[in-house]
Amino acid sequence: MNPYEKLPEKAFWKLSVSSKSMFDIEELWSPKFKLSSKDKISTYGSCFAQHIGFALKSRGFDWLVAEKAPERLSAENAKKYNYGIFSARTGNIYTTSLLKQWVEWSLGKVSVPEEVWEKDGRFFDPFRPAIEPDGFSSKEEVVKSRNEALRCFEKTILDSDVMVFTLGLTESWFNSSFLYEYPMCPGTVAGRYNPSVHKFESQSYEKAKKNLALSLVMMRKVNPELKFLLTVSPVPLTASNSGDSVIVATMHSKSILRAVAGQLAKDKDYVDYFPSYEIINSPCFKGVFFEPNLRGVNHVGVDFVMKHFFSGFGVGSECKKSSLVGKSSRRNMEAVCEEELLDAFGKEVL
Amino acid sequence: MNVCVIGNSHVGALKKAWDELACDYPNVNLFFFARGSNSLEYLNVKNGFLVPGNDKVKQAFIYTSGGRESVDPKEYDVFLVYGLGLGGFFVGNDSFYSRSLLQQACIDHLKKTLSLNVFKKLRSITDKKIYVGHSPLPAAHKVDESDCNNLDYFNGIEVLNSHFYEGLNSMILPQPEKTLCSGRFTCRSYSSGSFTLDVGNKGGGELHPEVDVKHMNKMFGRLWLVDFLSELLPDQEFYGGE
Repeated sequence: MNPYEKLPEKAFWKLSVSSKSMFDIEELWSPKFKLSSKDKISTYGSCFAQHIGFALKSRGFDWLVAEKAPERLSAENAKKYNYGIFSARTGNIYTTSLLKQWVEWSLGKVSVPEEVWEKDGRFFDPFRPAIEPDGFSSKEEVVKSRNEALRCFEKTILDSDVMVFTLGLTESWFNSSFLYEYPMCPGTVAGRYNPSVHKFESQSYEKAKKNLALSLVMMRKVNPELKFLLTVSPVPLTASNSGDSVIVATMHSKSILRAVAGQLAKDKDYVDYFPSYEIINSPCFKGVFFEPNLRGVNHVGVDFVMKHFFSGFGVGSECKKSSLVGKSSRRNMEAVCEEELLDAFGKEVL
Repeated sequence: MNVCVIGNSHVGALKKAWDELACDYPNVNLFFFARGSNSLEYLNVKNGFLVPGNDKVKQAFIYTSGGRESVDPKEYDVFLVYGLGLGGFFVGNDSFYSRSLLQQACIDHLKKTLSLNVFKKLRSITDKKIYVGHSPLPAAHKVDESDCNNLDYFNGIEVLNSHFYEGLNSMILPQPEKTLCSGRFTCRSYSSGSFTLDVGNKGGGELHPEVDVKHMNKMFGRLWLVDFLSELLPDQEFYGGE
């Protein structure tokens, strides 16, 4: 008699993986807390987080979108202007330190920097550089729009029952004079890179965990009932400034984030972890869920992840009739990912 | 002052009202060029005129204008493009939106409407001022008529003007405040007893069914025209009202 004899099928590779079709693999997660259609759920984070918001909406869950587009704006243009991508127009929040920054700013714990970038008469928000397709018409507009996003971000902290946060990166860029963080290296999407001010940091496990834990505590302080569902984006880095191969840097970064999310889910009863990262990246899925560039996740992969996500709550994989995904809405659901722009700007920067 | 009114079935309420109001405005002449639904898709620009593209529109123009089959912009001082698929536009008064975003929202709202289609054709043949009226907000039975928060509606009108129409020597007018209820509807009393647009054929000038919530009655038309004429003639004494 030994402890392994009583373990369920899912604990054994041979029984739960080798002997099955990959599409029949089950029991990848058991949610710590259930989601109901009455729960208000907000979503933030890396590119992959966007799929969760869309999927929640299409299955009749109450996806909380606090920052809404003007009602007559077309769906295509709403996406172009980053409405309905996350619960507020924060753009991608790749790192746990960026999340902490948004939480501190929105709750008024730290004052918001005044930095605004200008190029060819248009103005850009360093903290949401691609939030408007052609930038803003003035510095004042940038500030007002950022304040609106902060107001809406705070609203989602206060009103959500569950916040889903997808961790994406550990590589980050800081302003060394004022110690705030940019989501993208200045000089890529917008702004001008200044090596004496803009500093790179590959964040450690300790730092990533500390910042995430602090963020969750700050949010719980103003909304004690708020629960968190953490995921790690399965999407590899577009580029790494670490000096390592992008393959090695990706594995390094994702391993840290996976460990951070897992540890917090283990330590805190109000935090859970959903294994989207494993579902896409595990060798048992043979990389079939990636696009030909082996980076983007194809829609079959997204659907497969969502099937597992919702089966954990006893919800089928069918979308509500009104949300059925046609070709055009599928196109509209493709993730908005600023980091991909590194590909376009890479040669100038690196 | 000669005013050219171009539109669809919603022009019916204005025409009915004008028949009674005209004597109060001796210096104003309204000429109507109207046919129901989307008929004015068949309107072409030819030699500086707006010309009907088919016989049905031509006959309707002759009937509604009192004998003119096309629009010669030289004959009018201002123009009103009314109805033609343009609905209400609402912009949250408590949210911030960038200028380029609001501009895009205006374009998205307008771009597929017959109203813009006719507006553009008209603008291509005249630089004179063009006023625009949207189709009346629908009337609704079960709304709280005491809810007078119309801020998003008037903000939407202001945004359409400042981000689109103003730059084109034009202006969209709101429907009279008195006719609004619950912020996005027309009070039911203004849709009751409305008549179909009379273009001289069968079915014209008849009562709309009572369930019709899209078309408004003569009283609505009267209030609308009084507001419009006070915009046109700000110094003239107010004649209208109920």
